[in-house]
Amino acid sequence: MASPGSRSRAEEPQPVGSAATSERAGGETEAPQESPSDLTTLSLEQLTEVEIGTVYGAAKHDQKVTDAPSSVTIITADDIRKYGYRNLADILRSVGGLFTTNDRNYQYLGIRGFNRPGDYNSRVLLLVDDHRINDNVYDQAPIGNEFPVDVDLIDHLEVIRGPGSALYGSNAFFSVINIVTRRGSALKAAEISGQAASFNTYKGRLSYGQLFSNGIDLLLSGSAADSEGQTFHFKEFDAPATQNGIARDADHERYYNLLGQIAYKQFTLQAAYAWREKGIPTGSFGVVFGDTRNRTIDERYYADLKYENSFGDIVSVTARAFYDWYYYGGDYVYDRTVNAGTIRVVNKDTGIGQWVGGELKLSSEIMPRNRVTVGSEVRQSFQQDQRNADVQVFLDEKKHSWNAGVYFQDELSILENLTLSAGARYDYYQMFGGSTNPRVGLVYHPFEKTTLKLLYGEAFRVPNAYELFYGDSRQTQKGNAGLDPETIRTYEAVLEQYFGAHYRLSASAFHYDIKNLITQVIDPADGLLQFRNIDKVEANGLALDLTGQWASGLKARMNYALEEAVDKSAGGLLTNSPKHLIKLNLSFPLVEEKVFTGVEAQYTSKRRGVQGHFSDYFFLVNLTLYSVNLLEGLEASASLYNLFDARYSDPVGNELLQEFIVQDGRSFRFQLTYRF
Amino acid sequence: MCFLHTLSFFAGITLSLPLGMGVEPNNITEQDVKAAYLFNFAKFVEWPDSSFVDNKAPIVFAVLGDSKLALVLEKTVEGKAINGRALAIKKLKSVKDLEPCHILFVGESQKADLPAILGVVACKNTLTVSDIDGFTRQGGACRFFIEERKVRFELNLDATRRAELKVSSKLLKVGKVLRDELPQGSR
Repeated sequence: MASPGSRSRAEEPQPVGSAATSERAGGETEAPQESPSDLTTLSLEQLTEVEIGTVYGAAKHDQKVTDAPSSVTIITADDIRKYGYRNLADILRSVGGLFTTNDRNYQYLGIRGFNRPGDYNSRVLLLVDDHRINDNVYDQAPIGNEFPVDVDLIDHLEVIRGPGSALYGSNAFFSVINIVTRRGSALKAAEISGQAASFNTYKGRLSYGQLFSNGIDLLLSGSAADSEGQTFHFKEFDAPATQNGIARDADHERYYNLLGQIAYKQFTLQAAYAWREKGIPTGSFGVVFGDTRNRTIDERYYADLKYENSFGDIVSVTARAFYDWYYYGGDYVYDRTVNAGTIRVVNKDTGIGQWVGGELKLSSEIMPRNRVTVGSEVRQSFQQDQRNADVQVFLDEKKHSWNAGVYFQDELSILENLTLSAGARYDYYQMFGGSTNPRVGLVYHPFEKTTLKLLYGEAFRVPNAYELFYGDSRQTQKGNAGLDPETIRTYEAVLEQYFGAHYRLSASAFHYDIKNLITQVIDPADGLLQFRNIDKVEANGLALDLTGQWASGLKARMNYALEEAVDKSAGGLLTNSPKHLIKLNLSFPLVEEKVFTGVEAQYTSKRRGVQGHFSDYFFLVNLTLYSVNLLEGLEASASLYNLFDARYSDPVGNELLQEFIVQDGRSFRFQLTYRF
Repeated sequence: MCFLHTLSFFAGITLSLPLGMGVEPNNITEQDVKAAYLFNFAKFVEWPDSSFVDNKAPIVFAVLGDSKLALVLEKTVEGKAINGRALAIKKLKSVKDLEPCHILFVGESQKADLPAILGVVACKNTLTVSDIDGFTRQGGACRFFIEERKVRFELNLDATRRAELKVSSKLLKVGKVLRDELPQGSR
């Protein structure tokens, strides 16, 4: 199809090389008739800048984003640098339809209108190089600084919307987020990086990566950070007995993480370690307000050995074995009455998870235009312990369990431009029995620049050990061993349209039906927190996404999401569910190939809190200047977040007295990275 | 309605962006880019006349053990010519099928047979290309690698010299240049 864009490309002067001075390149004269994806009309320099548009996580093999049976967004290391993203939450907040909530202890990811109080992101499956990050006690997907991988080591990240249980089992309820890390060969150097930011925040990173002549690819990296945090005033605690609501020195944060990866031939061994300590300034869970000993510690490590091979270009095999550890330790300061006297104690709340497992996957194009993927996965959770104690032991639950799953997926090209993708996964959980979750997608390219996707999927999530068994002898919370798995059925239509040579428009509409949604409520009978299956929730939404990319280096992305998640049994919108989300991301070179600017603007509409009040809508603008090769090997970046110092608050869970928690005003970060 | 104003503000900014040369995201596979590179290699590498039967003989691409790339390459070069020479593609399954060619792409599936393959084509005016790790180190001429979702390549100039190929400076400018004696880490 001829278009103004493809014509302008044909007019680009063709490179003239020593071997090609007398060429009669057919491509040059025929270009206007050719498909816009004819890359031979690009110069070599342009070719090195072409971003490949494939996604792995949507079907567990590489495929074009336009062919994937999902709505997909990809964020690259280039975006991370140009927009000054500091952690996973920063990245995810920039993605269409996603929003985050920060209660000054953890960050929570909202997607498709859902961000439930008391849920530690258990409805999103987080993967690092295909390794499951969600733990086995809280199912937590860590998106703050407790996330085990430094964001500067991310090569790219895939956000795959919609249910993924047909391939991944539990937790892949609303979305699968797959993070692909950099390899040693991508660094081929040592890197030292330091940053300073608002609130007395300092961070350093040291990395080394190399591809050795014997074929060994090695990456080693370590990061450490320390932040003093902010002083807050919470009006809910504004009384002389609670320091007039002022929490000083209570927002501190420290974290370390290490990542090691070694790849040789068909084997890759990855090991990660992360430790984070975060002070809790908010007085959550009824602790002594303002005591700087209130804090949580998260520690996570894992080792994952992967074998990948392809046989005769037809069958590819992946096998993996892994060991994982998760530790959570919370210190909560309380005044206890013992023998008619009051003593101040530090309550120790802990959760420890340990598990091992393996996965085997086979993917094959058994016939041309018919790809079959089969796999199985086993996980043995040999520790899922929770404990709470101070003057007495309130909770001491030791659990273990196992689960296994098998999946099958067939992608069949019925016609040249019509593909049917169908799959299902059966999971068995020791505690809940079996669950089968199918997914069917029809991907149709009626015209060369148009893609239409019709998607149906089901997913489930089993209640986690925290929701089932956490109870502190009727202090704040009680367990509910009678919880059932929650299930979802989703219907989605996606239209992707390229127009001109620069724009891609994607529009999607979805309808979600959720049964038995697990939600934290306050039992009116005793005032204790408890997780319960709410009968039914229905969500409808629309998403528009417009991206543009120009050879000058200008990139733009704009999206709008309209979402409405309604609790069918209680009536009314869900809490912490913004109806409108708008994002704009714009990056362009200020000085060609040297200095870049990244601007992002985000609008979030009002959200209802757990007590029924609404938080104000807000509008955030972040600005980053990023420069490469300032001196040979030196990169510098300067960011201003919340440029216009907007005042805004996030709705938080029932464990806080506050319904909303104020978020950061204008803040900065400065980063220097040197490669040698 | 505030959000509508915000929306039109965003839309206004996005749509008023200048028009220029563009490349489309999300629709391009790594095979598409590799095929375009291979086409460019044919343009920017000069083979000795003796490697062609006559001056009408085609430039021969052979793709060994990567049927996906072979398909894409066929589409990419269809109807095109370079220096008046047509472009021919041979799809090969194993090292036993090897025959003279100008550009040989070796698929990942051939990892185990790599020494044998490089032995067969040594000094036969063939530009060997692969995405196998360590390919250029083992005597191959050109290796594709993917960095931050972009396909890049490195060239071993000692290998191209042994194959008596003249490589245009255009390629040297864009690719990473290596030599036999330098460790791969050198920049």
